[in-house]
Amino acid sequence: MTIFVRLLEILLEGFNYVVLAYFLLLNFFYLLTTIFAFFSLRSYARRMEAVDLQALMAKAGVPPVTLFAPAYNEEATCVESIRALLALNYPEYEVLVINDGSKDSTMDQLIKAFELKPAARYQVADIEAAAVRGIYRSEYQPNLWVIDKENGGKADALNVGINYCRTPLFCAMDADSILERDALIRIVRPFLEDAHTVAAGGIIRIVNDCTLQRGTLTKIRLPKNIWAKFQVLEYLRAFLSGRMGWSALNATLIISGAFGMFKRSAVVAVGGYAHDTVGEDMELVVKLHRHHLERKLPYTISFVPDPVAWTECPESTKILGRQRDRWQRGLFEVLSRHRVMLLNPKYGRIGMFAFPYFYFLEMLGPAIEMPGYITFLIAVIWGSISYTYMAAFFVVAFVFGVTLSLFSVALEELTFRRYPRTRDLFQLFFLAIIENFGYRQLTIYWRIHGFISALRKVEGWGKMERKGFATTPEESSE
Amino acid sequence: MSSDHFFKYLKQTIAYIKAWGDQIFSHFEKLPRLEMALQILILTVVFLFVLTIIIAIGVVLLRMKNNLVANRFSHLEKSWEGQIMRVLSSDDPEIPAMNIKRRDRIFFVQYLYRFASRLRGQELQIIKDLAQPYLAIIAKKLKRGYPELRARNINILATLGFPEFIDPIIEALEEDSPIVKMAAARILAHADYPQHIDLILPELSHFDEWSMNFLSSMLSEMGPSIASRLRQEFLNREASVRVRIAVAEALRQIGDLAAPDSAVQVLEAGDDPELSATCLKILRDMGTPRHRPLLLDLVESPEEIIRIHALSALGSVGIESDAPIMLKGLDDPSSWVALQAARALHQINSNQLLEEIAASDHFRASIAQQILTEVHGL
Repeated sequence: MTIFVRLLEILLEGFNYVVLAYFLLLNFFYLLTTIFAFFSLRSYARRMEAVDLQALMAKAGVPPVTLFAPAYNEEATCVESIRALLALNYPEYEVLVINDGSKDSTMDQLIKAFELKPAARYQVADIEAAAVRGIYRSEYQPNLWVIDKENGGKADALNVGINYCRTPLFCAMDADSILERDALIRIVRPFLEDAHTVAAGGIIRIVNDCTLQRGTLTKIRLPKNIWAKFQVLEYLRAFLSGRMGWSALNATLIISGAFGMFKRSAVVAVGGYAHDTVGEDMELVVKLHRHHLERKLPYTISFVPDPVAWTECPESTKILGRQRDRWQRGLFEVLSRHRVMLLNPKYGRIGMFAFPYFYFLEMLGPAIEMPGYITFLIAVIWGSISYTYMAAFFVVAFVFGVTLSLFSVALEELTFRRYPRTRDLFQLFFLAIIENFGYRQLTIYWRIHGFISALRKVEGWGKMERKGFATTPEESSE
Repeated sequence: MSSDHFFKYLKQTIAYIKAWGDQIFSHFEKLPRLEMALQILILTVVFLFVLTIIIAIGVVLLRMKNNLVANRFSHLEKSWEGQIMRVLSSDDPEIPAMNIKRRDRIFFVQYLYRFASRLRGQELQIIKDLAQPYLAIIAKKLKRGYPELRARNINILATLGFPEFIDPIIEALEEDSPIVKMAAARILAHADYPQHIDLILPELSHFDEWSMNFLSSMLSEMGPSIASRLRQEFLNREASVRVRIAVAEALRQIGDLAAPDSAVQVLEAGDDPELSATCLKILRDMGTPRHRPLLLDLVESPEEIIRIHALSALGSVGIESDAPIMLKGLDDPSSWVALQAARALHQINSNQLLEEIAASDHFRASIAQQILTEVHGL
């Protein structure tokens, strides 16, 4: 019995050390990316002051691009989103809406709103994808095409887009996202300045309760719903501190599926998007890294912090939980598939630095963190850790979390200042404190749920409900 | 303060920090393990808490400062706009000097720079005259500061002080920073100053990371007077392929009628496939039927990119009897080549053939349909 108790004690203590190491490492990475993001954003903001976008458009000879908008049951937002896409400030682009076998009235609404007529368009690549039912072109918007296809998932829809893409660059996005008018010219800049650029990601911001007029956001504010508010802060942390920091370290591993620009030929060379994962956006980026590193080809994958795609986020814990479950499954599937890159010097800083971070800290993190809470508690009850020590540890974790969140708010204030109301700024401060009491624990729960779902090989995206965009009376009456 | 004093103070400071560090470490060394961990945690909490408060206060102050600056600048801009509009609408040839406070001068010039982008002719000249007294401050700033700001200052001088301030811009071409170098090159690539091509061409190889379109459109803006110099560089086999492609593309954009002959020389030399493709684009835009024999050879090239552009050029200079070559192109394993072959068939007025293919069960029937749709509309 004594041996058993001693063994348990050793195990408990050992696991607590693992949790402590995880906590230290995770926060070290957060701090590192935040510091890098700070310097990088400061330099970027100064750089943008010097760039005249109009002159760039006029003189640079910007390449034509195709915008892919895969739509599945998007009847609430599709017409509004596509109108916004057609109003973008870019000299030459096509909008390719891919209706992925929607079961609602998405297709009918598109046909009616844009006067679509059947048209011929040749397939220029042969990436495997579900059958195309029909191709349409708008009668009054010649750069708007709609491909109606059998349902096959988002990756499948994007692959159909690639098969029909006639431009050297394409922009993958969600049909329910709103791009800012200058977003394309801003995201195409890395391709102009570095001929080796194969992909660039933009920032995603939350549109809930913002106001839209003629495809342009006219009033930006924090959402009213508390879950959406938490996500605003989360997105600021993820994009301004996280992705910007990783980009500064030249190790971008994720480009959000909601907004990214890609070199068509590079994506075709890696076989397009993977069908069998819900993390197809990350999978593509990892595959691009792998393809270029294995062949020793020069390439760049970057993150640009100011081309913005505004997207609607879930406002209920049910839908939010599904989304986070899916994200965690996606991460698991992608990292497991490309495990060969893990700590493999052949893949440079991706294999030795970025991949291990995502693998051990982001993918396995919830599996350490959740049991960590439990064993920590057991250790305290057992008496091997004092209450004071436990309290101090949690206070450190709490204050550190608040510090990092405030850092992200500071980065936003230092650079883009998209939330002009001072009230919103103070709300963000407040959210940085209260998210530690419930929201963070919930996200860990959803992530561990996603981790278990991935182990059980659960498939599918789960349903996402849209409430549509808030429009001004002028817009609504049209 | 002499250097001896400085080093003395430095040594004292280092000794003080060392003593302080020793004191802290000896404090922790005496503690039991758990106690030590606890004290470190408490210290971390205090440090993070202070840091958090500093960040929060910093953000609020930053917001206040930003609001104040924005309000002040908005007020200034309104007052300047009124004055400038009065000057622009006045018939008086004398331009009254505007009274600008010392601290607002740079902002005033930046404001004029933005204002100038909307104006042309006489109105632009008035804005330039208003900026004139303050441009020397901007010229001084070309030598220091962040590259991005130096590049912006080059653009300001180019808009408001060109050609008076051409010398500092030429000097900026020698800068190490690619963005400053590029800003200077773009300004110097001006149609009125063809002699600048000799300054720009040697720098082109430093713009390896910039897109080809960017480089070629910059060169083509200098106009036809630089064409002979560009042709010389185009034929220069010592120059890098990227530079030669940029130059060839610029010649195509300019519409240089002697460029096709140079392109033929390059094609016959059989250089890099991308360079050959650019040559074929020149032949597509400015070639004549005498280039057909060469093109008929190149449609058989093992390089896909060459076959595509050779068919494109053949469509442009070819005749109806070339239809069998294009029909063969339709069978090419590459769909891009097939697409170009179908376009070429249309260009040589073989729409009848295209319609037959579109109506048939030919494996490229949909390509033919697409071309016919492009031609006839929906």
